[in-house]
Amino acid sequence: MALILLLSNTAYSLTADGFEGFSHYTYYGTTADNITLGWDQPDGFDVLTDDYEIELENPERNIIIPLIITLERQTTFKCSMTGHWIIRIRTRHWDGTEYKYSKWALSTDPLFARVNNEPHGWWIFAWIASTGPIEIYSPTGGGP
Amino acid sequence: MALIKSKELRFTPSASPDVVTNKLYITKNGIPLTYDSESYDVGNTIDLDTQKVHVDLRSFLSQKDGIFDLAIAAIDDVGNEADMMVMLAVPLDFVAPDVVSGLELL
Repeated sequence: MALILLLSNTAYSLTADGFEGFSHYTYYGTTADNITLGWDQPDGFDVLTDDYEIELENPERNIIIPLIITLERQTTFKCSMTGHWIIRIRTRHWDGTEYKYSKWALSTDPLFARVNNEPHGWWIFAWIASTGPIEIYSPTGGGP
Repeated sequence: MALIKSKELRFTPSASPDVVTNKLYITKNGIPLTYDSESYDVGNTIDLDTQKVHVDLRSFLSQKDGIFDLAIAAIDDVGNEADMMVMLAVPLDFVAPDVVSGLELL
């Protein structure tokens, strides 16, 4: 079974310092942005798929964070920390005794991932959201 | 002792959950702001009434009078800094006039 990862968000393209050597497409955003992740199973409905298990992997921090186990084929999340994030997803099936899992499908693997409907690996680069605008306030009133 | 009027800088904090503090950057006389500019850690304490971070500028300026460029950058748990939010050409004066002299009863 294969999974096709689809991503939709409002990210924009810039250059990620230090990571130019990778061919993955980079979606840019902040750790405050809501990111909607969608996926599909090209073979159609799979009776052996009970649900989907999704994790976020941050290679700079060398951490993997469980995101959600869901019956749905999309989920919305926020990257909890700065850096690059790779999405990992696999199917899960309870056979009455134990859970059986598919291989992990990685968003950086063109076999599973798509950009603009073409096979292409991708990841997310999340940065810190800026503060709001600065205001200068004089508690006692008056000029400078 | 002279009375110096207070002047607060206020801003809405970053919406990122990993922000632990904010840094105030200051330059004077039109010198461009960079991440190497004079800077101060101003914390991330949010005022409950305004839902903003308040910074009393009297505590942070090494030069007390002039036209300043100010910027705030949010900082996460490992020291990454957000894009600066900048305010240019801010007139600030934390210097009281000279004391009078020749005081006499007539």
